[in-house]
Amino acid sequence: MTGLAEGAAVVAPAGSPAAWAWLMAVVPLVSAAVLLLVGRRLGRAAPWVAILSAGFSLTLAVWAAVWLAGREAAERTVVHTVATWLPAGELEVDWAVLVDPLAVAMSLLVTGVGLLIHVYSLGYMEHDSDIPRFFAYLNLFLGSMLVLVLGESLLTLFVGWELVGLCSYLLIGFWFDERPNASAAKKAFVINRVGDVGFMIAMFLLFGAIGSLSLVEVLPAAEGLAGGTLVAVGLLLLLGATGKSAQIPLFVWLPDAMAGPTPVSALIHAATMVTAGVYLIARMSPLYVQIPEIGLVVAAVGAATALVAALIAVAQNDIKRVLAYSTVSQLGYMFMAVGVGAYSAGIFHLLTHGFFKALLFLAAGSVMHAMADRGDIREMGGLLRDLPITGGTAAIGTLAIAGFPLTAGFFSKEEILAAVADTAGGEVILAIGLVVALLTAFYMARWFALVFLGPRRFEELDHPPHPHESPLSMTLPLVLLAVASLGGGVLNLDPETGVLAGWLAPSVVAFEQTAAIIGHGLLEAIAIVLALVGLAAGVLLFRAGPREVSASAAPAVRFAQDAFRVDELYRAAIITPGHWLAVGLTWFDERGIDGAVNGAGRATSGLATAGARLQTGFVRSYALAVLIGTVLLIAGLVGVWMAAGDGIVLTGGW
Amino acid sequence: MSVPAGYYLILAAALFSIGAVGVLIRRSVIVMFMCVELMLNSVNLTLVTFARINASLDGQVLAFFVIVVAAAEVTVGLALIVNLFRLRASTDADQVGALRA
Amino acid sequence: MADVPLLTLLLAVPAAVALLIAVMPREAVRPIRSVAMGGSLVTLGVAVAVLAAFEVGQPGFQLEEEVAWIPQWGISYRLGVDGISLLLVALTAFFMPLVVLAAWHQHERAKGFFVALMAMGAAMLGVFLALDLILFYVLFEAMLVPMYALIGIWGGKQRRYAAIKFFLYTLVGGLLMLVAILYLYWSAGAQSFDYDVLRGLELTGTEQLWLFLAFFAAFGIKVPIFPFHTWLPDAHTEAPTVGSVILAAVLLKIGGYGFLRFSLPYFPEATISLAPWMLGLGVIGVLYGALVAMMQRDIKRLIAYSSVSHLGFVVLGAFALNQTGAAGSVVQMVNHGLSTGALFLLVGFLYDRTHERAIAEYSGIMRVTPVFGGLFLITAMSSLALPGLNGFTGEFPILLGTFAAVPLAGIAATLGVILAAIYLLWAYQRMFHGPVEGRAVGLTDLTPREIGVVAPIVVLMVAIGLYPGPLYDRVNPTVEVLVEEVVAVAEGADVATVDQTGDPAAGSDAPIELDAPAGSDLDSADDDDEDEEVSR
Repeated sequence: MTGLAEGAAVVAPAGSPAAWAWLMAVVPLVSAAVLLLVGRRLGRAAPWVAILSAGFSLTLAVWAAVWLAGREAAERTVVHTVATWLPAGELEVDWAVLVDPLAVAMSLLVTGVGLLIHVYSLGYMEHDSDIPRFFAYLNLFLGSMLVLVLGESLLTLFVGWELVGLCSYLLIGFWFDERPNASAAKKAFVINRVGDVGFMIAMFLLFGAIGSLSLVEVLPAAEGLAGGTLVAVGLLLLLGATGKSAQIPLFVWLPDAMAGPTPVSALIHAATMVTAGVYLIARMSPLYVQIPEIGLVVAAVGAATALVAALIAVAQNDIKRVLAYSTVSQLGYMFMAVGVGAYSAGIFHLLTHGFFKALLFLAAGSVMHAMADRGDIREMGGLLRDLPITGGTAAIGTLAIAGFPLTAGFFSKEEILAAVADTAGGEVILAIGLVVALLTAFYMARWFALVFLGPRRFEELDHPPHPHESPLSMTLPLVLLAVASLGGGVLNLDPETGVLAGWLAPSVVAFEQTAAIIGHGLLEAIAIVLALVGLAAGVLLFRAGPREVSASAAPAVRFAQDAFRVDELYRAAIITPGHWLAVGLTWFDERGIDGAVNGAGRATSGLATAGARLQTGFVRSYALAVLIGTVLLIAGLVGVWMAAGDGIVLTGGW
Repeated sequence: MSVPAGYYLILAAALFSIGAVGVLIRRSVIVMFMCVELMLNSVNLTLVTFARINASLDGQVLAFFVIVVAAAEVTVGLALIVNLFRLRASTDADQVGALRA
Repeated sequence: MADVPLLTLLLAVPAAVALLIAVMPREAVRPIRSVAMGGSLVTLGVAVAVLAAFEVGQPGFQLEEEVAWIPQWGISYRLGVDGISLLLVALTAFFMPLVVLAAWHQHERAKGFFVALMAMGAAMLGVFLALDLILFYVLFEAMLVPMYALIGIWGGKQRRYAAIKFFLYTLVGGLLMLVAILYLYWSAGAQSFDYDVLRGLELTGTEQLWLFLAFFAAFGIKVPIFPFHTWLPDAHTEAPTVGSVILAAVLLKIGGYGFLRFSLPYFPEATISLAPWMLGLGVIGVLYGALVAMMQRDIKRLIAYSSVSHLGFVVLGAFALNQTGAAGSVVQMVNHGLSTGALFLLVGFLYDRTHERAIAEYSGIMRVTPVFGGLFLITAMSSLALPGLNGFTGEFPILLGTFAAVPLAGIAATLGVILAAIYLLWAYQRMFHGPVEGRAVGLTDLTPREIGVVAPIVVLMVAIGLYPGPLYDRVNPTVEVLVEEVVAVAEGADVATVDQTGDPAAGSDAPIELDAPAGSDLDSADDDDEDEEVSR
């Protein structure tokens, strides 16, 4: 491999797309600013400004991809410095872009899906009063994500990292008049920040050991780092990644984030932002490859999260929440992949998941649009007839996520499971991965069945909605994404010889087989069977409508519905004690410290008052004081004289 | 038989004490002044006695100083007392407590 | 142009304007404020000229002016500017016209008000420029009187208490520093109050320790460092808007400036041995200030405690004793001035309309006044150090430097960014989001004048966030020399040193052992608030 890890970075030739790549990020940022400042005045043109910017970025990304593809593999790691940024003492970071296969792949995903969602939003947000602001935030998000993906330094990556956090805050809380939305936005930001602390500390460690945060210098130096540093950095970056990618323990913000408009969910939480964590670990593959035991920890976190989230998803009744937990679960798969060292498999799943999850979310949005913004799937049913395009594309998405043979999801999930099966110590993870595959097929089939199949339960509501298919601006992206979900598999038909694997070779370390837990053929067969069984079970069990939960299963179902009470756990274990700590400190501040200050003041006043009592105004007491003072003085003098000399001599008589 | 010097000193001390106690105890400002005079005179006696004992004139000269100062002080003091009487219609020292903190 | 005494001019203009206003009739409010505005703009112009005349890359003092003042006592009038003070001078001059504009409709006793503002301006500029210790001290204490007047006369309900508390607290610190200064003059044998002469003194370790503590009394109170911070919330809440802005934007910087200008170069051994304690106090300030801020019901008080928290970072950067941290510290002082100044200005606009500072009284402001809400959000984001805005460009180098010095302190301080997000976003959400209720009903959005006051600050926030290079270019040379000087003393000395080049893996032995009090504080602070969601 001849890439970053070997220090094979090349400076961008002038005029090449790599030299212009920074515009990919900057143009949407500028148009966001424009829309925020004068958006209202632009009226109907506002969304088109945003769409044009997104289109521009996509064009630039495509151009960069084509150009990079035309270069020799050894020369596909290109850097371009735009300006200096932070020359703070020994720290020197520039605004610079890194154009390499991984970055380009990510930018294509971000700009491609991003553009589709911009177009979708035209229709979805048509009746909203705040359209310019929405599109401004969408652009801001696009630009920020591109900063993240194209950043040449860990610090510029971090800038993008936090900015997308800001954007998710702005977009989740877009309809901020409702308190729950605002609260969900704040929760997302704060929890992300917890992960960010891990990221920052990892950067401190790396800087301390290497003296630079530039990827061009850090990645080649990863080999020489001390074991302790590697482990610490690996775990801390994992913490950061779990924040962004909603893994255990920091996943609690994602389901609440469904409070935002559905295009937001599609863009941020399905296709792009949450994948930043996976991207980070893949980008740092030269480091992780040195610490395979930490890689197993990463994979274990992913597996656990995948399982927990899948179990929760089975019990959810909100159309978007099912998808939200499904995202968390699929992200778990990606973590499993990058954990065992199959970085290109992880990125592959990242891409395919981007397609079908965005598709599913946009379809959900389409359904909600038709259902007058209702979201409870128990009150839907039979919508395939009214929303054929939405339903059809949603079916394709469901098949893809379940891993139905020949869909994009099938190939990417297979590759991950195969990689886990080829990793020493991956037995449990593999088992979990297979169980999750079954669960995924099951709950997605349930989701599809309850929404699109069976009796039309919504007609029994008080004010039944009258569903109709969505406009072209919404259905076109659905169709395009469905095509991608079906055909996306061609990106990497085979883990070793696939297009993607070859493309990513300069950017990420190749997977190395360390065991053979189970044969690939057998594994594939098991996975297919599980997917088919899950799908069949889900459809058969739920095509007639929601089922009653048996009394014995009810507590378990309730537990899953409450998302394993993790929020309550955090509240009890962290938030409440933290609250009492703050209360205590405030009390201490006001009574203790300020009390001491005020006490000093009072003591001084007290002393003064006591001293003032000497001023009685009585002449006689003053006289007494004079007398006593004089006596004391004389006694003192006499004493001094007697001690010093021979005493007082009275000479002679008369 | 000449009177031993000690007797003079004891007399002076007694006069001084009487004067001091008088200043502290009596309320009438005029009596206080008289007591102050008593103290001053007792000091004079002491000075003269010591001058005699030491056969020097220093004590006597100092006694003259004291007499002059006493005279000046009495002048100013009596003027204050007269004004005070005009103001308060009383010569009670306890009445002048306006400087109380 | 080369011979114009720019620095004296910088002081003289506001002082002269103050005198001018003092003799104007008190009813002539409009001419008074126009004169004030004119004067502050001229001052800003002179400051720009100073910026232009400053030679980047030169670490020492520039544009020096020296006149013997009281030569019999070794007191001279000496001014100069270097990398550390240049930015602070610019910050002060930048804020003066903004503050005058913000106070444009101050009609009650306007004359005295503007005299106080101008006098403060002159004194503050002087403090940053003075290179003679008596001159420095005089101006340091001179700042107190106009501020005391601003709080005590034009302040809120508890203004007398707050003003006296502020005045006495700061004065006491100053007096202790005076004692130290006099000691330097007499016992150390300097016989001069000149900055460079005193810097060259050879002092014993014990002398340095006591002198450091005396200077710490003055600067620590000014920063403010825990536990000497309790004057700040009262002063900020009771001060009029403009008073709070000046207090936050400039006055608080004098503490950090003092440490870098005096404590570090004068008492290097004491600095090194006390650095762990100072780092501990800095960490405590960051976390404690943030935690207490969360509990505040008054928005101004919340911002006041957030100041305590943010200035904890400045202390960390200064005592990390490496270049990155120290440079970050200086830049962070500027950044804090901008963001906290803007916050107080914005809150002041709100208060002008409603005379209500309680957070709970507001809901849904963003819906009613989007411009105000948007500017407030940007400022809040700057305050919580969002990358892309100025706060991050100061905080990150500080954290990096602190981690390199004492990893545990760096980790603990980094937790502060979570807390900052919590209390700022909680307040923002409570006041700006949600249905329109309470005092938010009927609010009018910002007037052009008000936007004109805040917009330049916001522009700077974004500009510095994206391109802080020019700032750092001016700070780096001076800081480099300073840190080298201090660290050089450590080589060969038996005290623990701070080392930038080590490989401080987390959990492995840190170069400096944190003493128990600081350590235990950090431990307890470590397990608080991972994700605090405060829903009230």
